[in-house]
Amino acid sequence: MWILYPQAMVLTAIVISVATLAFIVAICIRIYQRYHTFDVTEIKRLKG
Amino acid sequence: MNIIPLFIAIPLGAAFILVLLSKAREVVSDVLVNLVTLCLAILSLVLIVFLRNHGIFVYTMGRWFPPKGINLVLDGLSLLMLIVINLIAFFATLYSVSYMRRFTAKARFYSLFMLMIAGMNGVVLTGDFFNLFVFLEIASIASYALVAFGVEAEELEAAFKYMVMSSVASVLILFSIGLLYGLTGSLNMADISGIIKGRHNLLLSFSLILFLAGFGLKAAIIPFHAWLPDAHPSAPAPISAMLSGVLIKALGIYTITRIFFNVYGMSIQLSWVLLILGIISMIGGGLLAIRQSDFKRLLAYSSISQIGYILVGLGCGNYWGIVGALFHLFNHATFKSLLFLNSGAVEYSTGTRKLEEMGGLSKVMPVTGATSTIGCLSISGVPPFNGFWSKLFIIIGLIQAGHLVLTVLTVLVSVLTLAYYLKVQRFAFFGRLNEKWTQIKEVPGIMCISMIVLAIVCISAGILFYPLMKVILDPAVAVLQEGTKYSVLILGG
Repeated sequence: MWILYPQAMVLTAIVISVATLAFIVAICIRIYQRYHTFDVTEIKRLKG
Repeated sequence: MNIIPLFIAIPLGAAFILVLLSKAREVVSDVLVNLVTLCLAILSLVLIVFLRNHGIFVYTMGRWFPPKGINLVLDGLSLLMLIVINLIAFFATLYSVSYMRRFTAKARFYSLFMLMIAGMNGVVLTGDFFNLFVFLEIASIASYALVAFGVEAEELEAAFKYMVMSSVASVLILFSIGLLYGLTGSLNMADISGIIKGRHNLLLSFSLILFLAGFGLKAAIIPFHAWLPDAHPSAPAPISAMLSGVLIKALGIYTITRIFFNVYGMSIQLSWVLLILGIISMIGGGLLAIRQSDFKRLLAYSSISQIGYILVGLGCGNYWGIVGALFHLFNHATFKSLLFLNSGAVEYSTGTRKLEEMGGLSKVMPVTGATSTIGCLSISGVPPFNGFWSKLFIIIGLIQAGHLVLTVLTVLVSVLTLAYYLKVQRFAFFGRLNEKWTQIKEVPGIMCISMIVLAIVCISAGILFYPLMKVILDPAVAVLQEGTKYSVLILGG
């Protein structure tokens, strides 16, 4: 009987988070190109 | 017969091939994607026969046996979700052939679409919590990219909002899985279910609450709904249809159901949680939908309202409630995708989503007009369309469970639903034709075919509800009614 080591899971979770982070930064760059600001209070075209 | 891993392997493989094909002609990727989704849809229908003959099927990945290895589990509930996902995916890809022509990089769009399908199929098939998390992230990340696919200002803003909210949800889910792993030393759902049976522990309850918040965010139940009305209308129409019709159910409702019913086991408190969240979503979504003037935004709010119906049905906990909830899940996937495809067709021809600027469109776009009428009647629950039966079953379930106040509210929200869909019909398709739109034409044939077939599915699911119930829904209801016996069925078999 061997135990299930959690390192593999932690590593997978970190890799997934890095992918999400990379994507979120890419979207932020695109947002800056459209709105010319990083201020979230000015990025508010969607309402209702 | 090991065809179950194919539901993950085929779309995953197709996604990578499609990236390579991005330089080739568009027709190649069109044909490939439609073949893949058609194949998956047919395979999921074949599995109905397979499940009837063999019962629950457990596939162990790489022959590492559970509870240590990862297993894929095919039971009634997974099968129902597989059918919904792959059927709607086929219609969405068929529709994309014409609709996505005005976007660039169609092959990449298809590639992301395939990744989303692979993720969702994985979520509904897997029997392992960490594997579920990984597939959930695959589907979510693909869907963030698809929401932002148009790269206009609004789409990017919506994608950013969706991404932040959904990442928070993923972290909550991961934290909860970590807690469960610490408490039980296992990640297999069936194994955990067996270990925690009869245990009462503060940390266990806390992990359940984290799951509810995490998957609730993915499902856009009302306190967690803020991203949905932005993200779903901003995506291209076939993606809106997939997100509203399938993604929130596969990632949100299915996982909540599986965890509540099969892993932790249902209790009276949990069913009240579902009932209250459901009733708030139902009423809130309906009231917010009625004041919308954007076609797709109205549909998005209506999705929140209909998710509320599904939760209320699940919260009843008796046979009729659950069968109504699962039937409504199937029906909502069909008619909400149909309505989103209709809104896409209107946008394709007129270029607008504002309901006030439309009017009399069914004269120039007869197919879109007729199919949207069918969709609206189905979702409002007019007999004999499919929405009527599922709402009726949910109401019967509520009466049997003795929740009379909730029954009255459910009926009232159904009237509200009819009201805002009449608004859609009145503003967009009936009435006098706006001068601006006299020159427009019906959308291309392939988009029409996809809408017509979905409308036929709506009608036939309404007329043939009894065979559908016996063949697809009853095995799924049986899985939920067995509750935590799930553990014995998967591991002890």
